[in-house]
Amino acid sequence: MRRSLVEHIMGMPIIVEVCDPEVDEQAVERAFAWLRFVDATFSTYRPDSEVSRLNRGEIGLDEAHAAVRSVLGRCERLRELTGGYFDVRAPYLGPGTAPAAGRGGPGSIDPSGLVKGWSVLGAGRLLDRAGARNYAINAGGDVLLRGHPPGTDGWRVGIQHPRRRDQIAMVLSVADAAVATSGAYERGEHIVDPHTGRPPDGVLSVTVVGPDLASADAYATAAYAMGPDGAGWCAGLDGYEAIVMRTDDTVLTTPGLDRLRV
Amino acid sequence: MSRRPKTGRAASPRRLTAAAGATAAAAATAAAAAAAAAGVAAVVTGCGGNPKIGRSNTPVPVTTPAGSSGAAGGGSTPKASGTFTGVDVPNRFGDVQVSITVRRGKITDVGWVKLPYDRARSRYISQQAAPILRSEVLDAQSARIDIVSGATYTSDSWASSVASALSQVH
Repeated sequence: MRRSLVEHIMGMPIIVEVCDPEVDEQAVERAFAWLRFVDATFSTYRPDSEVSRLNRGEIGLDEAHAAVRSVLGRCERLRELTGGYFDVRAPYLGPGTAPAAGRGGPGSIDPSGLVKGWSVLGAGRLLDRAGARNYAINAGGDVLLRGHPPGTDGWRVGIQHPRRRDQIAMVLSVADAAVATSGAYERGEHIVDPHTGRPPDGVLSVTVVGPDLASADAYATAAYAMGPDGAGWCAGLDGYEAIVMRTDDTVLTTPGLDRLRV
Repeated sequence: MSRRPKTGRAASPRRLTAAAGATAAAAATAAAAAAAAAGVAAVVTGCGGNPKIGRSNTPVPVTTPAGSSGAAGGGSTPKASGTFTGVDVPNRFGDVQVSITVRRGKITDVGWVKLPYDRARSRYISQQAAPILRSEVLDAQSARIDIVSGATYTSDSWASSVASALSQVH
């Protein structure tokens, strides 16, 4: 039996699918409650969130929730790890051309590039604790997979076609892994190269597969921002595989990806 | 319950740090390959996890073997041959330095002169780096799938997406 529950949190649909019949819906509700807490604490769209208050200077970092300090610390380590391509201070370009209100101003931060994956991992831990062993969480296209659907040996993950939104470009079979995709085709060009403030050239999407969804998401974001250099950068990531779809309609994959393909 | 970890071990913080240094090296390799494609004889290297540096370095040829006559200091001579070593770039993970072998303007080998980590690991990364990224043509597919990964879709755009259709199937 497979049950799929959807809730809209952080402005995106979060779909939790649990295959284990013994796991009750209260466990899934606890996972959603955690995600709502994360949204209330980290959202840059909510004026009363801790991150918004930090951005307005109303509270200092030392007064912020321990989870906020922990996430921002990890963001900083990722900034160093990615040569500055993952940067919570990068200007955020909304679907239009101007930064969304209250976002992207000088000195303001937007850690949502890490928060999403990190919060989904937390939701997964709550499901683990409730005894779930075979489940999937899809947070707006970034997915966490545990175990596999009954009667299969892995989750079949379709990688969305970057030019045709109703189609997929590749299918992977994965068990116990995270898959994150960054690209420009959904929210408009919302990822910029922090070094230039402009969207990168030459790349349609970057998908990263690996053990940790928060890192996979941040790596995908950084590699996308790198433009043409992103694929080579991904090749050096330990324990993570990548798919880079480029504007010349070619696709580059890391060597280990083949064994995941269907 | 059978579990198949298919994507490798979880990275400990130590491993992640190691990946950063190797990552810089991989980017340098990519930069070297790109320069070869552009007909530049030698490139460079390095970068403390900042792949951008690879784009703008000055070639520093160290050896000019026989056969590359007239190419003394000829790092910028198209179709040159020889082995060239990039500048040594210190970064927070250690020093990174790359050498490339060029024959008639094409890179035939990439070697590591200096890497911040052990040799075995460096060799592994160099094998894994850009030149053997597999390339194919973007294709549209239909197949049985459980879930869709794509660039962040919003609640507004979700209704028209494949993911939405999928969740209704289950």
